[in-house]
Amino acid sequence: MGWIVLGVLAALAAWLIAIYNRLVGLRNRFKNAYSQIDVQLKRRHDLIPNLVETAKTYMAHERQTLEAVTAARNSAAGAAQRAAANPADPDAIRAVQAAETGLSGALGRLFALSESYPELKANQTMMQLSEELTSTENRIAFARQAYNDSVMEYNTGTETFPNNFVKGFGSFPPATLLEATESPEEKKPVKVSFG
Amino acid sequence: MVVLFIAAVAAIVAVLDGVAALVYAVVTAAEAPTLSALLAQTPRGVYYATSAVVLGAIAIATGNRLWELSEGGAAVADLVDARRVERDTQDAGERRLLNIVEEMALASGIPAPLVYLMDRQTSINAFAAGFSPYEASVIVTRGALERLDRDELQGVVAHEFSHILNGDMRLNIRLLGVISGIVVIGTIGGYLMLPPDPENRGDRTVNVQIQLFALGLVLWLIGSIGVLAGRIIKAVIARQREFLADASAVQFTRNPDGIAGALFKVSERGSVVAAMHAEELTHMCIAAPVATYFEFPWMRSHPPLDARIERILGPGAKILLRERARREERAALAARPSPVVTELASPLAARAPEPIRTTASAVLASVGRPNDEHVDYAQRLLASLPADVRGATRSADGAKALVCALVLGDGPIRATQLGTIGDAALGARAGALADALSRLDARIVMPLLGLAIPTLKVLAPNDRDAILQTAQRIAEADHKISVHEFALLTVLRRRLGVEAKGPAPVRYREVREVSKQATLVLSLLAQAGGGAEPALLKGMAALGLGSGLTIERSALSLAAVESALRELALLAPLKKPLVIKACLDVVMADGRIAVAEGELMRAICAALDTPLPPILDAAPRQAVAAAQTNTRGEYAAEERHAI
Repeated sequence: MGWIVLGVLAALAAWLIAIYNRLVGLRNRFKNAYSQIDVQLKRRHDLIPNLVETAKTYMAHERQTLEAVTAARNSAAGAAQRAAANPADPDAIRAVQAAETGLSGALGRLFALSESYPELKANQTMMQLSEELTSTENRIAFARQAYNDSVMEYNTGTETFPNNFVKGFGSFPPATLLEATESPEEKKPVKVSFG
Repeated sequence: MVVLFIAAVAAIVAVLDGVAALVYAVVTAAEAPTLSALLAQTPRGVYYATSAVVLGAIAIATGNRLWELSEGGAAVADLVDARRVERDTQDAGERRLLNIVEEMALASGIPAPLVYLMDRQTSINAFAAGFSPYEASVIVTRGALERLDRDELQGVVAHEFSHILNGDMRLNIRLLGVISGIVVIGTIGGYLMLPPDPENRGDRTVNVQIQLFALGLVLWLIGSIGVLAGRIIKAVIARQREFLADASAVQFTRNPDGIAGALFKVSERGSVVAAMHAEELTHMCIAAPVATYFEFPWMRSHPPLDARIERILGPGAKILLRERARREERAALAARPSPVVTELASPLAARAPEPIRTTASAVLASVGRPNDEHVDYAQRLLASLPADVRGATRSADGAKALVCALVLGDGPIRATQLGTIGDAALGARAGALADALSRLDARIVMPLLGLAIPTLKVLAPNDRDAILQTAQRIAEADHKISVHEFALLTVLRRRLGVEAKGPAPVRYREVREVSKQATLVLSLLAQAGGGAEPALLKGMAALGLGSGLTIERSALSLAAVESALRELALLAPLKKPLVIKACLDVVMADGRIAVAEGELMRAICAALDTPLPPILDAAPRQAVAAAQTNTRGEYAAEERHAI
């Protein structure tokens, strides 16, 4: 009789340990996914100076837009460095997000402008660069998506029924999902105007 | 799956045991009245030996194949002659593929697999291989690289990634090994059926040769059963995994259009891979890599493409995709730069308009039934209008000025005409618009009028009358009404004049009641086309009127024609197409429609309340180009002219 009770207790313990290990695995996954986003953002920062140089030769009169792009890139790189130095600071994270949004806006304006420079569009280097930038933008989007997916799995893991008892044994705080990065400008409804 | 495999092996062993018994009976020349007696007679040893040999053969073949493929993805790539794509490649297409694979790796959370390319395959296909997500590889055909756009390629790669993540790889490679074991029986049979080497021929007697051949034939037949069993096993499993992979692809990319578009292109272009081992890899591909002729639905390795597209995008999606593809094809053709001077590339470039070649029945068939070529033409027309002209159609003042501009002539008469307008601002704007219009094709006149009229229709009746009178004064400033001016005025009057309330009254039920008026209109058309007699006779014949009625040219006054048109408008609606057809016959007696004839046609149709879509060129462009002088050169294939 005693053996049966012992056996049951042992099985229960093994089950709880398995749950705990799984939660640890999920937590590390979403932390890793977060740093993936940083990797892709840095890749974008590295591609931009090359893009500006190539565009400058064709769009010599669009100095303002080009300078805006360079300035946005520098501020985004700076914000990323500060956030890397203080990873726990929520203000630093928010500053990074704001800087990246600004950079996306400046890049968008630059690409819209380059539509009216057909020789620039046809340039080999420019085509390679825009492919790389498109890919980088996609990667940032997918990295954010993967991060959100892994946060969802982690949160579901810590909140479902048997697991929330195990939660207390370690530190498993709920993780926050990344919100959409629209600026207040983008949130306004699009007005149609025949300008 | 294991159950099916065991059943197949057991069946093969049983049948081969039976064959062995027969062979034994033949060899020992034993006598047996019935088959069952024969089977019972054969010593146990024969059965054991046969079973052992067969099972051994299957086991060896399976083990061999599994060992070959234990390297995972790279081995499968070798199997189909795929080349590895280097990470630092400079080719734009390969760079794009690598980028897409890395994006998908990020989205799914595994490290990026190795990428291989099948250079010689022009069909669209892709497959993933590898035992675990950490040593996987993705193999793509060159056709997929070149024919799919970025989103679609991303969808395909995501589909393959989901195969990797769902463990389909391990399942498939084991299936591969196991099926090879069954197939080996057939291979041995095939080998036995081959004619023997000439050197060894002396060793065997003819009898032995025949027996070996028979044995080989039997083995081959059994092996074919094995192939059948293998296909069924593959199919049952693979189909559901394909749906799962499609759904996961949508989940990874968050974009159903990508994978659906790729599947649509596969259904149009085909996915057959001409590699030796393609048959074995069926269940790893995104679409069937071998063409199958005698396949039952339950043996298909992939679900039908239509079903897959509809699961992703909803019912009826294939029709939408086909329409979209057709539109894009036409837009791409239209956007291609013409090899001739650039001014000819726009449908509205100012040049002497060439007449259109088409048939009366084609035009008549398009009445009330515009198809997507008309829509396409209309879109291009709208897109090529200059901004100031287009903007003018949208405001009341602009539309008024535009109407005046359309009627305004060129040269010294314009000053007189502008004087009749009265309103200086209107006159100035009309003059400016007339200058802009003179740079465009003459065919733009009627469509522009069609664009301006809705803006004017909402004005008060007084304003509408004022515009009509202004237009009339301008037209009469030179005391002559040309065909062009007449057509414009007719349309304006019909559309902007006092509108009848309720349905149009029907006073005449038969064409012969309006024969005089119809003849008048047909004469006008014949005069405008320059053809006169033969053309007119053709039109009258179409209406069933004798050639007794002839109209003098002097009788073609403005008032007479207008009253004739008013009377014709009172014809029964079902008889009006006959009149239109007669008009078309007159116009096309010389096989072409000139601009003046087209405008007049449009005016007559407006007067008769019959909508007429743009008359598109029906003859191939080469024929028309050949008919003109060679200085024009060749035209882009889809370039259309219309009125």
